[in-house]
Amino acid sequence: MIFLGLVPVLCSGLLGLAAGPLRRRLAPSAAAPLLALAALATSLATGVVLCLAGFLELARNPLVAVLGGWPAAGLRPWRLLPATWATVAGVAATVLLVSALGFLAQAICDLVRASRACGRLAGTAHRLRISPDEHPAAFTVPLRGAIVVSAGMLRLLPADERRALLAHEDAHLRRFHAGYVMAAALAAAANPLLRPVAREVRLTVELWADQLAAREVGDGRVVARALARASLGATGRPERSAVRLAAADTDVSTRVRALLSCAPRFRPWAAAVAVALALASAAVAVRLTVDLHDQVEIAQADSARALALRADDLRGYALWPAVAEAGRWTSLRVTAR
Amino acid sequence: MPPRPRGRQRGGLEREILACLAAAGRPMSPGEVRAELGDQLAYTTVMTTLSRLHAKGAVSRAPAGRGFAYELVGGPADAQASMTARRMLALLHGGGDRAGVLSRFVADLSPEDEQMLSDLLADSGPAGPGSSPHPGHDGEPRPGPA
Repeated sequence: MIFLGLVPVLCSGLLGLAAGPLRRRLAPSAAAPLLALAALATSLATGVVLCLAGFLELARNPLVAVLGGWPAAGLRPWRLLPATWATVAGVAATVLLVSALGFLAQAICDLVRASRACGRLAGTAHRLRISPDEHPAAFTVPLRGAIVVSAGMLRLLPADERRALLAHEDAHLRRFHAGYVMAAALAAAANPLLRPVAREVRLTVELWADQLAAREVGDGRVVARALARASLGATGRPERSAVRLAAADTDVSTRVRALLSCAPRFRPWAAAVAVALALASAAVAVRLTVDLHDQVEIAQADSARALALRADDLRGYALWPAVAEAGRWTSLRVTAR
Repeated sequence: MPPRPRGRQRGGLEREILACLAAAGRPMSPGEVRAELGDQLAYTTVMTTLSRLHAKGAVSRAPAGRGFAYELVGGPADAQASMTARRMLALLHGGGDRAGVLSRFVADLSPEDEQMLSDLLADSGPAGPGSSPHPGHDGEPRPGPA
């Protein structure tokens, strides 16, 4: 039972390790939703299992036991779980939940701020907004469904590469890429083992948008050149080298290589790995939840039966005249009940 | 030759024309826009799209010669817009603790990446990195099929 509880944790770890290889073996349009959903499932399952273990520790508390109506010694088959493990699980569950909520609050706050800021830019047509900034930048604002491109970026690129850039950003919006990225990032906030998955999803949506842009422009090399020119133009600003995640470094070269190489062979069976990991952890979480629920009901029933027995004993005592007198009831009324 | 493009998404051409006008930063005639886009577009297509953008209020036009010259509404030197752009960039560059809600076109580069990208541009395009961006070049010579 204890080892069953480790399955979601194990699955999260495996998914984290497998994310890169899976991404390389799947088409981006399949990899992004698959990885994001698998990350959500394993993350949720891990959270549920940790909460269950923490609950068991809590259930040993006499006050909680009285409120819940089960014996204070804890729930029976779960006594196997060492107390230290249960405590660690409870603390971990709390920390991870706070981390996930913190991420969610930060993300919503950032989204709203970006959306508001975007609303202040002069609106042009078809979701394109041009910021007057000289620094080359291009991004999408999901909540508003807008593409923001700086004037510096537009000046940097020749016409065909501009077209590739706009097609890339448009693909982000049309395929709801932000949703996949956010889902995976939330899963990673709730379960650090899944951080590599979030990173791969972020890269995957870029590859996906590159692919769609290449299809629209008709030549992957134009997209690659746009990417190269934009990246080189955007670096060389002092603030950019200050704080960045090291993981982002290789993304551009991966994307350029994907654009220049001929389409790699995709192996759909790789998807089965992610599905299996997600299903296994979900099944374990459901199984353990149902188990615990059953155990709680059994313990409550046992507890109630024990109470009823004790009540019978008490009624026997209550019939004694001396006790009845001390308690100021008539032995008759107790008998009537 | 590479396969023919699949064709633009809805609104793609309007966006491209807006981007073209923004890059130029000066009024352009439909002919100039067409030459700049360099995509075998019909003159009437460019013309129609420009008038549609004008009807939407995205571009302004002034008589020039026999026709009109079009310009992006809201000049690039709008102070408040600059502030806003700064703020959005701050969201982008906020560092690792940010949720990363905005997906950027470009990420940061390692020195090896930089070298590789420079080589790519040197191989395939006339405009190498660091050379001055020139918005006015139409019909960029394409690399031959590899």
